[in-house]
Amino acid sequence: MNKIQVDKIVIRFVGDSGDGIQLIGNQISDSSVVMSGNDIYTFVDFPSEIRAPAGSLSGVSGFQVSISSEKLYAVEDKVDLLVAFNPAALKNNISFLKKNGILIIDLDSFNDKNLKKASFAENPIFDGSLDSFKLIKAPITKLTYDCVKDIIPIVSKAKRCKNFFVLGLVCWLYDRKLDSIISWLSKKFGSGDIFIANKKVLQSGYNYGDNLELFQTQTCIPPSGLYDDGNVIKISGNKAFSIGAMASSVLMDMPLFSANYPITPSSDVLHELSCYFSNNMKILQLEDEIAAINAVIGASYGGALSFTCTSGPGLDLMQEGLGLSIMSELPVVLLNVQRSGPSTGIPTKSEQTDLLSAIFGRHGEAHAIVLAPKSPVDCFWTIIEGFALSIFYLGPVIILSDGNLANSSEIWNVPSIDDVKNKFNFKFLDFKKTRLNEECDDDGCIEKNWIVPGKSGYKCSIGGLERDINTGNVSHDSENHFKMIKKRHNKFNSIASKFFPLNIIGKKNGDVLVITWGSAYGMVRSVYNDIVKTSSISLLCLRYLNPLPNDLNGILASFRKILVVEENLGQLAFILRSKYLIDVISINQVTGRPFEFNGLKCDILRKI
Amino acid sequence: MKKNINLFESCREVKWCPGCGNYAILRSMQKTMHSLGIPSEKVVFVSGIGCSGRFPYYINTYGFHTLHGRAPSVVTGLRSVRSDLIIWLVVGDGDGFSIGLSHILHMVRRNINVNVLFINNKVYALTKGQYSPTSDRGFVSKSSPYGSIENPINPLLMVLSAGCSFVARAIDSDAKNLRSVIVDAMNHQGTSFIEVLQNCNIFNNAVYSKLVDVETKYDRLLYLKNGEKLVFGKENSLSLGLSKKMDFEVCQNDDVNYNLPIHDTTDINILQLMLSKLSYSDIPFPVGIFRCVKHRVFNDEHVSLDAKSKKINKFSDLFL
Repeated sequence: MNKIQVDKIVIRFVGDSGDGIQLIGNQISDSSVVMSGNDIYTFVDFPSEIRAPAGSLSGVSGFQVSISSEKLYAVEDKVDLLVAFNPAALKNNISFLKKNGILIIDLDSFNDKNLKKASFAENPIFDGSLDSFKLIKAPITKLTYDCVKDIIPIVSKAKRCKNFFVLGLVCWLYDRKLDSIISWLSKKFGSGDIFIANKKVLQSGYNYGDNLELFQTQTCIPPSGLYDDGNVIKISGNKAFSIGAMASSVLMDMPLFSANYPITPSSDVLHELSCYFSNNMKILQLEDEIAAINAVIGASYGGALSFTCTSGPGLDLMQEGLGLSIMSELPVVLLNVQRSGPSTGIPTKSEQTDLLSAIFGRHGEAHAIVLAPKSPVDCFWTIIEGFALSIFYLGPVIILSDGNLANSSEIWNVPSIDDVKNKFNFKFLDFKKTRLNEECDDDGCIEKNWIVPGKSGYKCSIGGLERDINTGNVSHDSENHFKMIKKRHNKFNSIASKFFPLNIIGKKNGDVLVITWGSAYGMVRSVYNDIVKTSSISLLCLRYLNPLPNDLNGILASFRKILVVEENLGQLAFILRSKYLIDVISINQVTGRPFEFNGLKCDILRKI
Repeated sequence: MKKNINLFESCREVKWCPGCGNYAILRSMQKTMHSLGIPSEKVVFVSGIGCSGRFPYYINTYGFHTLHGRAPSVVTGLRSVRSDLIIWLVVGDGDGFSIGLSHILHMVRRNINVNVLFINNKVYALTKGQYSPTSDRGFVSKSSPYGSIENPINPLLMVLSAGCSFVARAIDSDAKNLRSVIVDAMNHQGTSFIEVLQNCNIFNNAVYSKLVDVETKYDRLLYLKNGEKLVFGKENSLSLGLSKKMDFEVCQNDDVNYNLPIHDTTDINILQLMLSKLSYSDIPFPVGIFRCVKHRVFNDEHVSLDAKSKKINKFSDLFL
């Protein structure tokens, strides 16, 4: 068998939620990292409906993975291989498949009933509409049953193994070894019938490709060499938040508290943390988002690292609580996993439309620090930094993730505790001494300490009312109020001195600077890597959105033209224009999906 | 002779209206805490918004004046991370039973180990006199100039129904009973809920006058006592009895035509709900302890989760 080498392939599995799509998607991803040494980037696409009727258009879910010999930054918008388990899945997803791409369909599911559910007038297999693809139409359900009927005689149960038939076939197409998948199966199912059946089906799918010689060549992807040493895991944005929150507690030697109310797409953080419960880690599910933020404020008052995790509508409900955190000077962290709005919007789709709400969404002059991680792994670093900044500020930090970061996974060479301490400089994290025990740190930034009850000599009352600037007692004096407004404003702006320096990718000055933030960075980076060879262009991803970094002004002045790419109608562009009195060119999209490579590339090239 | 200094008295000026019932409540609280010899730095008063919300400023402990209605959530978080503190939550009828109703009921059903001082003056006073959810039907206020057309809610019935493990009622000026239930509430593990009937002499003056006037109070007040019949009246000669229709009726305390029930605070029973349903216009009106039962408190449940949960023993465990 001939083998051809490519740098990157993209696979998308689509079907009903019961088809086992996430499972085989994860298996091909893990196997590609562990056995073949590739980089991967995965994305889970799921509907709002939990179990929509089988075969219906609204019940289609998907798993997409890019497998590459180079570092990946984003979800691809076109795929090389589409596996559609039924007609509805085909209909919803055929637009993602490249011309001449491979399409695998289960012939057994293309019956009249399913075609009708997917609103196909004609069977697409025979009407020529799929002629521009390499179609593999196999009776997958029947082949699976024939393979395992001796082990699992019940048809409905035997059919459940069909995802492993597909997985075997895909492994043949892309020259993946089956070993790691088989060892996973044995770990999961032991040595019983289910293990034997799935293993047999997996091998039979692989052999099906081999025996029929579906294609003249197998495609293979050379290893990336990125993760040859060290401890490597696959991590999503939400999982990285959970781990980062727990890591913060270990690093800062302080108890962790989180109160939440479930909301898509942030709930996975709550699910993950709920498995860990100890004297030092309290995770609560409360009656609503309002209760959650106020419990977080209460726990912060008790001296714990406290955070909550929510999405759009929850951010609205929590704004009042953030005002109290500012007035009573209690550090809190709020993770907002942005989703399509306004109101209920499209809960499972992603946007970057909450930036202005995060910066300006409260009454009064009420400043919150706003941070945005740029990749799934960066969610880990951002929450540690978020906790640290909230304690320096003694006020709220909002971290803007989004549905794309939450549900995408990338490969991560996990850090040791020393790696993390070195990155942040340990003193930066040693709050137990500097904040809670009333010792001043060398930076002299601390004017007031974190008020935590229990110690004699520090008894006082805090709250939401305005305070006298000297005595700390409640004051309704107008002159004093203006002084306090300015004091809080300065205190907030001084936080920018704690930020890491900005890191420009490419030349430090020149013609064009593309600025982006959050998950949009991934695709912008991919496009940048493509066009930097031919264009004079630099890239800046802003992780600090409020206050803006002190070194940004100089950077903006060093470029002739500034482009801002974001998944909203120009919210960061609005801030940059008003703060720096410069013009910026805005590139926007609000579709609930990430930017597409070609569209974004054309847009950037047209505007530079 | 040297005056015994009360460590719970604050040097801050108290700014409630002269004649406000809150002064008496504050004094009872300060005296009781002082007499128990509690270290004041281990005590936290958390409040919401309203006249009741100012309580933390006027007592010399740690204090947190939070948001309208949200204080029950704040103490839920605080208690989860601090088992060493004595936590008092102060709410009013607007704060606790209008905007904060859901938080109160959820805190109660979780049995968070805090003491609740619910100050009920049946009016929104800090917003200058509108009717509240506990105002009586027909109550004339700035926002109900022709009399309130709404039925009042019954806070004690609600918290009893939500499974509250300690429920009591007292009157602002009745220091003896108030101090006694404060002590019992502090001794109780779990949510201890005290309703204090408070006179707002500006916007709802004399709303509880019949319970405090010497002329009438002995015939109106029923002091609940665990293990005893529901006896009241100046000579303790009257009692609440159950009629054949299972209604309360007033009878002589030895009337054989009635079932004379025994009040039991130590388990959850229907009599507690029936007693809480008696309204101010009924004769008699019960004060004292309605319920005091042992239930598992929220922080103890945390300990049981600890035994089952995954553990982070070293940094690298985070990435497993």
